[in-house]
Amino acid sequence: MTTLAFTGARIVDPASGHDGPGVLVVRDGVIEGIRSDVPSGAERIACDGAVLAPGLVDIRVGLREPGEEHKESLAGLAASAAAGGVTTLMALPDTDPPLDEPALVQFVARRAAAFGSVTVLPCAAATKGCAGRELAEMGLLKEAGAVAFGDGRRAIAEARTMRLALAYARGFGAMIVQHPEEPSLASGGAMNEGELATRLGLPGIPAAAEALMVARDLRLAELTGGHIHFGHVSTAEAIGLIRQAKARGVRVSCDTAPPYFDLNETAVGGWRTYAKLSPPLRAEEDRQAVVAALADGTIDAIASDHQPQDTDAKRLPFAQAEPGGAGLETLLSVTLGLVHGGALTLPAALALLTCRPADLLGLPVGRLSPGAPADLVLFDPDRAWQVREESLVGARNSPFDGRPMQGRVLGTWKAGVRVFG
Amino acid sequence: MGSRVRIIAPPTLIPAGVAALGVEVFTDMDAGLEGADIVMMLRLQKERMGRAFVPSAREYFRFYGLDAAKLARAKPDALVMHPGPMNRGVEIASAVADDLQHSVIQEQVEMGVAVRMAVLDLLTREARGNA
Repeated sequence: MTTLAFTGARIVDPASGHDGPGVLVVRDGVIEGIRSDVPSGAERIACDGAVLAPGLVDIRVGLREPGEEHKESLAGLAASAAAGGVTTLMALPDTDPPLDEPALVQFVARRAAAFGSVTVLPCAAATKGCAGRELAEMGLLKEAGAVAFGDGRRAIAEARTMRLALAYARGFGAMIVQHPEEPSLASGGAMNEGELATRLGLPGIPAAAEALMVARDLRLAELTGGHIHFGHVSTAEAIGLIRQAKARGVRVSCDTAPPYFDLNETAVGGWRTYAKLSPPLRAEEDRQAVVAALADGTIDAIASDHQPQDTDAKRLPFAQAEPGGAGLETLLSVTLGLVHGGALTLPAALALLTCRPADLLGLPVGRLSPGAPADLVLFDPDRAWQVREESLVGARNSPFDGRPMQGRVLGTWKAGVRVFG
Repeated sequence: MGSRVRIIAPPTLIPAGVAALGVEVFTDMDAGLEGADIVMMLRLQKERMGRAFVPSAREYFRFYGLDAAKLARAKPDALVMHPGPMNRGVEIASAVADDLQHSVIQEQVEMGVAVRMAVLDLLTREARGNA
């Protein structure tokens, strides 16, 4: 029997509201509780005033294994997650082959578990092949371990398919995760539509592409009674629609990713392909609306939307480069920027990274309750560092490359075992 | 006729507003079968469904096909019915369909012919002038 005692930390557990000093005691990989003394025989871990919080729960992570292991293998993903303080993540199904077979869902979860640093919970395909036509076997996929359904980076474009998916998933108590972008409006676009795109000579994607899909799906959620979840919301208009729908009781939730509250479209100036994302970085007013929606509770979670790409996919003319940014290792640091900037308190920011996304999926993680697995992150909220792609553990295509940060992960524990730092 | 009627199906197959007709609606088969006296299965009419309302026959059987385990939720002497033709292994397991302790499917199909004849006779008597 091993007992660990984390001493000298500011312990922040957003789920219980605990924020203060204490000794966190872990016995055999399970949280025993927060106490004021160190139990005899416990191994001390001195935290020196850093913040100790539940391991992060990241509900939007792109997988490249199976199919594109040269961009990031599951081993790389596990290392990247540990470096970012992420101990539970939901992986998207648009791999090659896609996660539309129970055996593939089990494969991904089991193979990731072998690395020991992170629990990978697949969001399985909502439609066969993520092709948006026929429903996938949601019941069997859920029994195999899927926690939600969606088509990854592909929008479920057809209204009839979305209607059936929302209704069918309701029978299994699962949510449908939408990539909220009307594909026929986004097709061929490389960045946010507007003056800057015109100046750079790049084809644009209008903000309306997001609002249209959100408006339609909210209506379909009302029709079916299903639960719709929008990934990476990025525009003021879509956020306004979601806020209104929540007020009238529609079963809707959403997340956003750090680029959408920390950067705006000017980051692509100079044709920086690392800042080419899907959805594209938006206008400054949109960024401010995302921050406001994080503060007022309209947005339920911050997810990394980690989308690894290799240099061959990014060292191309802007319009031809693949979209997507690595996000696991910068998730916490960029989010802490909201705390330093005064938009959120530290417990509120951590809630968006831990218990709130866990609650969306009905998971018992993301909290420091007695009996929960000891998944923990220790971080210095003030330590300064600079993102350099060559110093990232996993995928390097960070849209934050070169950016100075305040706040850094010092250590990560998975079920009481130190997996980083 | 005084019976309590429940329908059990995936949400994609439940007709809109059906609860207003006086039935209780379930999407979980175990819950819907709890304590039932009679279990009436209906054929999954694949030929009329166009693009599928359910993803596959194997998934349908797993969650909505009547097998011995699901039938155990109903009363011990529950009757199993099905108007035929049956898709064995889709909406009903052969072991249940052929279980003479519960299944009255053969009788139902046989009587179905007589019942249809009687209904047609009643409905057309006046028109035929021999009411």
